[in-house]
Amino acid sequence: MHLDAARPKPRLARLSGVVTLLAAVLLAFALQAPSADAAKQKRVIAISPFAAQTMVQLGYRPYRVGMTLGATKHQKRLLKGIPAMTLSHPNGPNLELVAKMRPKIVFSSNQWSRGNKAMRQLGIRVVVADPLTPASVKKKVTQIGRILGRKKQARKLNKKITRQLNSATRGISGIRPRTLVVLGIGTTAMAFLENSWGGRLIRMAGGKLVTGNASAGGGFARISDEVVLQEDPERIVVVPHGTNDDLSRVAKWVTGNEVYKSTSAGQSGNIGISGDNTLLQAGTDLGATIRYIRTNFLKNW
Amino acid sequence: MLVALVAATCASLALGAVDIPVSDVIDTLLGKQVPEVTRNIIEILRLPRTVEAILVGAALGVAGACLQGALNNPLASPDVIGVTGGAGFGAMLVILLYPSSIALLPVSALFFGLFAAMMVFIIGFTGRGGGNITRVILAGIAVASLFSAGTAAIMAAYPDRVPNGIYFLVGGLTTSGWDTLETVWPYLAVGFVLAAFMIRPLDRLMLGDDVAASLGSRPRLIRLTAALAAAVLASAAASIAGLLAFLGLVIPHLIRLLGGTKSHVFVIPVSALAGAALLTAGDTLARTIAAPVEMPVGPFLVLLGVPLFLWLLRKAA
Repeated sequence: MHLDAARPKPRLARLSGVVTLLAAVLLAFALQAPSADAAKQKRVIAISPFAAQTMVQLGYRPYRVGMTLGATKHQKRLLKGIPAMTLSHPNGPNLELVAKMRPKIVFSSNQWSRGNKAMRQLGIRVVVADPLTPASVKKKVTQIGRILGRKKQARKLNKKITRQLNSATRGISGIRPRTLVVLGIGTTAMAFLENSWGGRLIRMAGGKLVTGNASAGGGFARISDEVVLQEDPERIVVVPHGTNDDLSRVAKWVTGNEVYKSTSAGQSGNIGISGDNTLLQAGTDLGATIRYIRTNFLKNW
Repeated sequence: MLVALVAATCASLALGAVDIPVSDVIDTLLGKQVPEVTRNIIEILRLPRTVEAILVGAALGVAGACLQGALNNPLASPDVIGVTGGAGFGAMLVILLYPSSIALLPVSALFFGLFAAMMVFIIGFTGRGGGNITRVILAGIAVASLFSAGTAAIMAAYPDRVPNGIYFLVGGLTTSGWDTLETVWPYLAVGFVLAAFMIRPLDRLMLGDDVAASLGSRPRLIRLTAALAAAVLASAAASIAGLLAFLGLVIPHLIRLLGGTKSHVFVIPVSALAGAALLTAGDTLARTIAAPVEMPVGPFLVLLGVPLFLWLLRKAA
């Protein structure tokens, strides 16, 4: 009997062990690779500023974002380096470009309903994930997080939003300054109503909105200047709309306005101009927005 | 018609989104002691607005009468000579492109309204065959289309800002104190004076170009001057109240039907009174019917004027 022949050679054993280990590792990578690739290649477009901000804060970089006029510094910082798509009525983004990009998901808003329908016909998954009220911001963050597979990050972001909101609304007293918020400048400014985004923010920030009890589905109405004089707002906030190339000229027009001048706000110098879209568009920075409103306009911070 | 104007004026001062007793309104106008809010509402809001309604309504009525007489065309109105299109473009240019320069809105509307009219006059009245009515009307339609397209293009480029411009496009008075009137009154004055001088010549023109020429008139000059008066009045009116072309078209016809005469001695002054009364009444309705929300006055003018016009048409037939 030849014992040498019966016993396996040590080098060969080691080699087979290494090969087995290598095979196991390669197999593990092979199983991981498709989902990693899929995550990397999953193109998600965020047309609305809210969806874009939320995605970035959830750690998911959008492939493209909708062009946003009047974004705040914070929003611009969040979306820095992400290519923007030009939006125009009625579809929003150019549908041919979207078709070419072949996104997996498009986060949109009701403003682009015609475009949303067309994108669905192109086989693109379109999710309308813009909150209509500040109260529904966290719900929409959760929805976006669930769709992107970032539930944990969404919960964390919601906790942050709650914390910031609580901090921003601390110390609001029962006395609420009468506040008129107008959209646009010129002779046909529209007043923000209770059901507008900005109107709700003013209430959360401790203001009492001047509306003359008007109501309109769209959240804005041209209320009579007589009612403005009668209700005598203590604060007036003007939102000039879109890009403001010359805020000083806007300010000059606003402070010279005959009606505004005659109110308590005009006489006490409490007429402010909101140079960005914080009062118009939903965002995740609710706490910062409310603090901004309280500091700059309501003067109750 | 004077009675209607006085009634509309009183209603305009007495009625509004805020209930103010008539006695307080009278006291304010007489300079007596009233609460400050009441004084501000009457002096800053209602009084300038009422005066604007009277002047704009009169201007549009006279402009329509002058144009229909000059062009001998019952469909002639400030639209036809491109004024409305030009003024609309000028206003939207400021509202949408340069919102921070909103104080320039009346100036821009006035400038582009007159510019559009000038283009029509140059094309329609100069060169061989100049002064031909068809040529003038076609030139007006072309120029109006040009400016309308420009307006539409700007609106498409800045859709977010369009709501602020809608009220101008559908026509409506606003409460902006006396500022706009202070800028525009010289043009209204020139327009009214020119129109007054055109009353007799337009009557001669009604007899036909040959007859008018034989009476020593110059038909082409009369047409041009009357159209110029109309252009100045319509531009000034548009710079204050937006696009209210309906008044310029319908008021002169209403007056001819009511008065049973086409003489400009009657038609022009009474068109001024009727236009003023209708616009003042329409504006009062527009700002009270859905108070505190203010509706644009353009649709109300149509609601008030068209049934009356149709009834008169049927009666005349």
